[in-house]
Amino acid sequence: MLKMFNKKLILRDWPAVQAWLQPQLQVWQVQTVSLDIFDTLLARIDTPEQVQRSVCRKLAKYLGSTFKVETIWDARQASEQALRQQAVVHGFDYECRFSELVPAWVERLLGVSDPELVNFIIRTELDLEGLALYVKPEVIPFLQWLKRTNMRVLALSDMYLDGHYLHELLNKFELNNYFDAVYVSADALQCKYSGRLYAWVAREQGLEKSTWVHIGDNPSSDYQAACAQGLQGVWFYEKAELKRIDQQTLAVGMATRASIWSGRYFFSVLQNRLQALTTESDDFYFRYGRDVLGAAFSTFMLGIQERLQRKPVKKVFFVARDGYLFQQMYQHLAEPKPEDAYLYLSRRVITAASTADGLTLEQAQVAFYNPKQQGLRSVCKVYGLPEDCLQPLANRHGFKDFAEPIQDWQDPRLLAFLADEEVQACIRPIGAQHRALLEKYLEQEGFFQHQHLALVDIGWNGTVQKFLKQAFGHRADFPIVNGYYFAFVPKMYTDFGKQNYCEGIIHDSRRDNACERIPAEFEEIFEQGARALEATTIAYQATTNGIEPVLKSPQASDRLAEVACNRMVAAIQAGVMLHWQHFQAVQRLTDYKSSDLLPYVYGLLERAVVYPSREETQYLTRLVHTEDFGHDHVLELGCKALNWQDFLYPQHLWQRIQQSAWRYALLDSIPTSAPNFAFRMAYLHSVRK
Amino acid sequence: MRSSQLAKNLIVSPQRLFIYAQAFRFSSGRGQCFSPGFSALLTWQALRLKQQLLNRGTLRWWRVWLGKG
Repeated sequence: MLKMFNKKLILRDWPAVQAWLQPQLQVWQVQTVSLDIFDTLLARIDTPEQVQRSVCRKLAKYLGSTFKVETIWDARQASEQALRQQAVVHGFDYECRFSELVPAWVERLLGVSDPELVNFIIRTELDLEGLALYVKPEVIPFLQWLKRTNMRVLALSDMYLDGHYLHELLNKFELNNYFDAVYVSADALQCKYSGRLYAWVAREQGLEKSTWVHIGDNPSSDYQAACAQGLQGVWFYEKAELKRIDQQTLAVGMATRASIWSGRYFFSVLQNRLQALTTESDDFYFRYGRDVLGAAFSTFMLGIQERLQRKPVKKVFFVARDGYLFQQMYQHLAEPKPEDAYLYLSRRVITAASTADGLTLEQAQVAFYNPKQQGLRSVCKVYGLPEDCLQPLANRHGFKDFAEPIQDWQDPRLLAFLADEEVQACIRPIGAQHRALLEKYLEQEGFFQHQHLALVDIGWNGTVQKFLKQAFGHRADFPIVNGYYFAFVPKMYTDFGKQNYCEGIIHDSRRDNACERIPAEFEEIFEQGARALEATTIAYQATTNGIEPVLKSPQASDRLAEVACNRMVAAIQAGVMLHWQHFQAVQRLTDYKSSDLLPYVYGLLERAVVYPSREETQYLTRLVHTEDFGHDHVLELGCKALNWQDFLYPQHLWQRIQQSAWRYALLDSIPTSAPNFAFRMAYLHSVRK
Repeated sequence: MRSSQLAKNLIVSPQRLFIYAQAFRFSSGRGQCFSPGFSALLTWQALRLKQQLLNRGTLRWWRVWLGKG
């Protein structure tokens, strides 16, 4: 007989349960241990009500919007209540069976039975339950220990799911083998809270109640009702878990409000999932990818998914190099979806091809956007033109130094140079050669095979899309192109031609929303986070295998700097992919759209870009950024932090701020965020547009 | 063991977001899209305070300890 029978037993974690059970087991005072399942062995990242509401949303979609979600939800509540009351009338506990509930619900909704729909609902709910549940971390070692003791181990649950459905769930979490039997209230309509389930199990198993211990999280049904039946109840009291559930409930309540609340709820569920199912990493870059860029990139991919459903295309092309990560993420999306391909394109190869009909002033000006531009030399580098041929012609028009930066974009010398037929005659054949190779490459990749396709890239000006249309738009088979960009800031061009659509999903400057401009405040980090590890494409060559891209030399100074950063970029991307995996699961549970998440994502990015932690500035400024416009320049993301002397020379200070890729990192040495706030305000004033 | 610090940068507190959004209010006055809203923020604070004061976990513990069920 147990010495401690019917004593107040409150245990706070599994090691404590094990420590308490061990001495009892050694002397066979305890011969049977039963465990509650939900919130004891399995925890939830989302509440049961939210899972059931998600089923209702999916059912509404399945029924083709014939019914409102709220109507479906009400029908479920009414059916459940009717079945539970019916059970009470027949002398059972206030319980129902899922296998009876779903057909009754469908019949209440449609007026007829529909076995196919019943099956769809059951599968959906089990699937979503599987997503919302996880095994608590210390449970498995405890169950393994219990199994080794040769005790009789039972699982007891007050739950509407029938036994065979519960078995399915336990199988999914590989828990079934730890139990000699599983009992659920739905099967016999007898519950733990009334004590009748304990009595039924005792009869079925022929148990001696005095040697039986039951452990569960509910003080009424798992502890007091068990003790009242003569077995030892143990209340499993996890304070932190109860606090987490309370916070989760609060987040659910607030999510009904607009603004950031739905996004905050979504990412708190995601955080719960990450905390439950993954382990912490020491790698800063991995954590940054998982916690910051992962949220932004995943919301972007969700936006693409929604647009592809709204405006279907035949094929999705991901543009090198920053489309690389997005293609990896796209490949994790569930079917059906349009086929995808990776296009080796760069602004360099596209612009080179665009000079087949000569070089216009608008095209030449593109080279001057680079802050380190070297006038006509930059034009040659951007468009892949021969300097030796053009230099003597430039001299003729007054350019003594071919590398002299051109600040006046309407410089009369430049206008005369471009109007010179000899200059154009030198440019055109080279452009034509580039264009012919690019055209063959695009044909080979199937770009002209489909009437409607999508281009996905990080942004910013849509140069590739613009020049593709410019170079090949005359072809009868040129497709309708939908360009989807992480951020779209068309500073360089405004006219993209007919049937050539562009949209920035996270940021589109045409929406004129100052708040969403945050990616443009530190665009290099988004480009670095998404880029492929290989070098940029600088040309194409014809080989026996067809047209192949020629990548930048590994010896180029900027490429060497890039290779040195590849490990960090790979870690960021591993973090993003982990986030994406869990993001998709949470999205299936919540059915949120990208527009529900965007306000919170802007806030998250505002925190990361404008108010970075010291650790963030320290690690992120180690990355270097390169551009694919023909130069070998490397842009250091890190600058020496500002000190008080800088403030004595405002002009110099302003210059430093303007030249900095990440201006908010300059305030790193100041141990408060107040200057960042003041600086942010000043900056928003200065760029008011 | 759950690591409550894991992915902590994924969650930004509403108070912080409210303060960050004031930079927009005091400058361009547009695009306060990530401000939680003053009344929503107050509601959230009040509910959180209520949760902390009426800690369900602690109340449950006392009910069991006192044998009230």
